[in-house]
Amino acid sequence: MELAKTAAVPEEGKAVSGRSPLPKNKIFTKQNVICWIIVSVPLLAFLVFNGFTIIFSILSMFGDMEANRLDTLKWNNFANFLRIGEDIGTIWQSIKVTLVLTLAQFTSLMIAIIIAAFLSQDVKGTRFFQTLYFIPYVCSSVAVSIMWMVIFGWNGGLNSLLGTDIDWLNNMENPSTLTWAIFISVIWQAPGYGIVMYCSAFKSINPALYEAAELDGANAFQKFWYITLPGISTITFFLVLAGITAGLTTFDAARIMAPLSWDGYAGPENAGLALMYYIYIEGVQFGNMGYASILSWILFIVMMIPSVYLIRKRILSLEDL
Amino acid sequence: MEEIVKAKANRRIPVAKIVTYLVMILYTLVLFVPFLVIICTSFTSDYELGAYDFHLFPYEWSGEGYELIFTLDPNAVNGVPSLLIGFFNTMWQTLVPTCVSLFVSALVAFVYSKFRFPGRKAFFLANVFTMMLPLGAFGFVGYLFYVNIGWVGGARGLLPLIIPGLFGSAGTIFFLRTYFDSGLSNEVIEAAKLDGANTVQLFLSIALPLVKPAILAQFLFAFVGGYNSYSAQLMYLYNDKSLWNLQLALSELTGMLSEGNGYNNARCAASFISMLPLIILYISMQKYFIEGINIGGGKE
Repeated sequence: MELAKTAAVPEEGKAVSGRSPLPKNKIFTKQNVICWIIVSVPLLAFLVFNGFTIIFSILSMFGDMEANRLDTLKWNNFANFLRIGEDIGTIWQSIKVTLVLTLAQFTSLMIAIIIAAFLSQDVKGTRFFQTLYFIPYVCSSVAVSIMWMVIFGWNGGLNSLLGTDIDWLNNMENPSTLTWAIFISVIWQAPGYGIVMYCSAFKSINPALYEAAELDGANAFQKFWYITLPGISTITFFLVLAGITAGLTTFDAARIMAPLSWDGYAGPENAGLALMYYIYIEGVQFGNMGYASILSWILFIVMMIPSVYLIRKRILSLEDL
Repeated sequence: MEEIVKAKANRRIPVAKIVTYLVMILYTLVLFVPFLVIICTSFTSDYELGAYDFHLFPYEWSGEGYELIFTLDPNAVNGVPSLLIGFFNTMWQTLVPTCVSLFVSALVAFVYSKFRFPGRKAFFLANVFTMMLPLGAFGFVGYLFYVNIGWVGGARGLLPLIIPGLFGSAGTIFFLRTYFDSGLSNEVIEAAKLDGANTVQLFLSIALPLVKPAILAQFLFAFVGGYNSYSAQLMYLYNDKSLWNLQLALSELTGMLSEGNGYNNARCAASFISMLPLIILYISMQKYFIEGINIGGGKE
């Protein structure tokens, strides 16, 4: 309620110049303090909940714990790190699966561009189809994965459609069919968001550009290449980054479609072992949080590469705020 | 002259249009045949599924699948099927943090937008920075922190799911701030102040209603995200069936049913009725969903 009495909403001139209307020696006014408190809330929460997680995960990498309790942490001569060497085959397998699932995000992006390009044609009913195409996006990846498990499963329809008799999800001869089944479930679901975004991006391109290009004798491909693609570059950039993040952290679909077997495999020859799934199995199910922390940090560092690029771009564009 | 050109265009077969419709219909089939398969399977009896080769439409329609998931549920608590418990848990576990967080985010965004205070820019940069960090990688490592502060086990497992989400989200703050910057002019504020409104009234009765479309968009997507959330509940609530959310209940139920290849009808039924509420919500509010992506998507 203090805020109400003392808050001064900046007048127009002051708001533009950004200068404080108060003398310099009076920084700790009631208004400023209240502003600080309010804007600190999300930042402090972020620091507490993520900061401690990060600190705890660093500590846990260097020792063994009982029941994940840090007070039982015992130095173990880098045993967690040495395990990476022994475990390199599994890690490599999970990296391969994760890359396939990241590829699924890129494929979804391609599908989104193509479908949105068709939806932007001057024909009736595009709005209706756009609405339909977004439906898979609001479905949970758990339910969608179950749906695809049934379709890929025994007597589920795919085999009778293709005239084959393959156990896609448990294929001992070629385990990777499971990985590609997860891939399919992702590209079935993911394009909806991109389709809607690209539709509005296509609409925002100035039609005069196309007319001018037509006068210059440009064909459809040239128009797409020289006008449409540059016009959607910002949204593509955002969707690529979001896709990389989503792809590298795929978990739900992997966990549902490749349930952990009694002997500790995620699908035949770990064909469903996405990196996040491996981290879950090691850290939460087997209680090796130290090792799971190392894997998480590897994933984090890989994901930081595009993020750093984004942060630089974003902070540069914030200069005028 | 113009008439002739038009007439000529009409006579030509509209190849581009036909191709466009073909692609749109083909893609519709790609997206909806899988739905059709599970809907039809969910209405086929287990006996029919086992005795005959795959056929899309059941020879005899049967509600057995839907009966099974409510009567033969091994995860039922006191006779209440886990999907039902899951649905109600999902509702409150999603709505409480979503609403509180949206309110906090809007307040913070309002302060960033309409108040000048020392360090404002630095605070905002910090906010943007937290938004960009790819902390998804630490999703499961968070467990370590919450175990050590005693927030795991039984009902305490709810704490890590709800408490961290109450303090606003950096992305929403960023998004709503641009809204206050452009949608709430200082003239409006001045006029309201002349009418005797204080800052709290200003925020609640003028600022919030002005950004209603933006808040609604954020709410819808947060709600969809919460409804479909799975990994965090799997991690923190697994041991207490009465707290499971819908996705966890669904995955556990279908996981048990799938042992031994039977009960495909029940798995399809469970999966379909879990998707249905959001599909209905989306269809009835599709305008706001699409608008929400259009106004905010490119900025996040």
